[in-house]
This record gives sequence, structure tokens and C-alpha cells, in this order.
Amino acid sequence: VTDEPTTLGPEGADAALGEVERAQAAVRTGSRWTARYLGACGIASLIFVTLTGLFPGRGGTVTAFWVGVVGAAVYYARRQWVSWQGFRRLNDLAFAAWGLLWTGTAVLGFALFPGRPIFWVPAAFVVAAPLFTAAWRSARR
Amino acid sequence: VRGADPDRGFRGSHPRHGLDPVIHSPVRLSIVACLAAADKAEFAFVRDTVEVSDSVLSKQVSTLEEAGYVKVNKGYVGKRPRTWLSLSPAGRRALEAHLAALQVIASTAETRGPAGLGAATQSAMAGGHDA
Repeated sequence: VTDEPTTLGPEGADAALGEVERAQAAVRTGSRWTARYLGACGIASLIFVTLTGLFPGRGGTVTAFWVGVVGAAVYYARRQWVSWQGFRRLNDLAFAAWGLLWTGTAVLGFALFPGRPIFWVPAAFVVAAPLFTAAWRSARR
Repeated sequence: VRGADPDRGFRGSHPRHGLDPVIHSPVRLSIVACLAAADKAEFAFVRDTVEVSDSVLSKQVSTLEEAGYVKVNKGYVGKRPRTWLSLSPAGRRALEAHLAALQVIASTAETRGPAGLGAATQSAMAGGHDA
């Protein structure tokens, strides 16, 4: 079930290349959700880290919020029809970096700066940075 | 069905010998081009992008799957069945070789002078290869 490519001229070749570009542009358009998804995760991370640090006695409530956000994000991502090539890897890297930064922040912050905004507010931005960076990269595609 | 070996180079002097017989079909080229820009794409997305019916897409995907160019994964999101399509490494190599041959063929017109023919060529060659 093949078509022997024997009669393709320059105009036909350029038309085929134009169709390739059109199909790939459709994927880029259909993948715009990835930037929104990563940006929303970044904002949720800001809230999570800030509240966790400033209200250590409410750890259960804040953790439940974060688990809910991650669950909703995963559900939203699974419902999408397409993602651009390399998104899965970028997403995995962003969340791996987030996990490392959050672990370091939690160890340092709970030991030395419990409830102190001067540590936790900037730390929240640092922890969320991989997610915002990934969102920015997704938006640029 | 077997595709052209993208690593073997041209069989003759004319660049058309570098075209892959499996993805030379316009519909199959569109499918492969779409999947090349994606980690994976749902069947319905590809159908709407390529603008074909379910049955036509299913038949063409089977041809591409037999050639080893496309992988098909079935699953569920909630209770809804979903079919995911993705391009295999062999499919990606075949597309790159096919696009290179198309570019060479298209460039023969550019050297003769019609304006605008190069835009689609440059854009298609740049798409879906990074990240």
C-alpha cells in the first residue's frame, strides 16, 4: 500500500512541505494548554510553600490543598489531545527539580526559619521557579 | 509494507529517489508530520488536523504501523476509550530523510526564480525537531 514517488515536481514538493508546516502548526496550537498547566502548577506551588512555612500548624490542610492541585493537574493533562514533542521530558524535569528544591527548603526552613516570612516568601519563588521556567518554555514554542 | 531506509541515501541522481514510498502519500505525510511535532496525539486530534474520516485515518495508521513508523496505544481517560498515536524513531528518521528530499526538489524551483516557494520549505524543515 504505497505510492511510488515518481512524479513529484518542485511545486508539488513545496506544497507537501507547506502541508507539513500546517500540520505541525496545528500541534503547536493544540499544545498551548501545557503552558497554562505548568503556570497554574507554579502559582499553586507558591501558595503551598508560603502557607506551609508561615503556618506550620496547618500542615495537613495545606498538604491536602497541594495534593488536590496535583491531582486536578494530572487529570487535566490526561484529558488533553496532544502535547508538543519534548513536553513530557520537560514536565518530568521541572517536577523533579521542584521536588529537590522543596525538600531542601523544607529541611532548612523548618529547622532554622519556622514561620518567618523573610525566608519562606523568597523560598516559595525559588521552589516554584522550575515550574514557571517550564511554563515559559512551553509558551515560547 | 516497508518504508525506504532513511540511512541509505539516494538510489539515483534524482532527489526523488530519496522520497519514502510509505509517507509519500499526502495523507500519510500529514499524519507523520503531525506526530513528529508531538510527544503523542489522540486519534481524534490527528483526524481533525489531517481532515479525514475515522475509517480513512484508521487505514492509513495501520499502514504506518506495519511499516514501523507509528506506535498505537489504547487506554482510557475515566470511562472513555482513547487511542494515542506517536511516531517511532524509525518514523522520525524516515520523515527527516523525506523532508530533505522534498527540500532538494523544491529548491530546484527556487533556483529558477518563483518567489515564495522557499518559505514553506524552510519552515517545514525547522518544525518538530527541537526540545
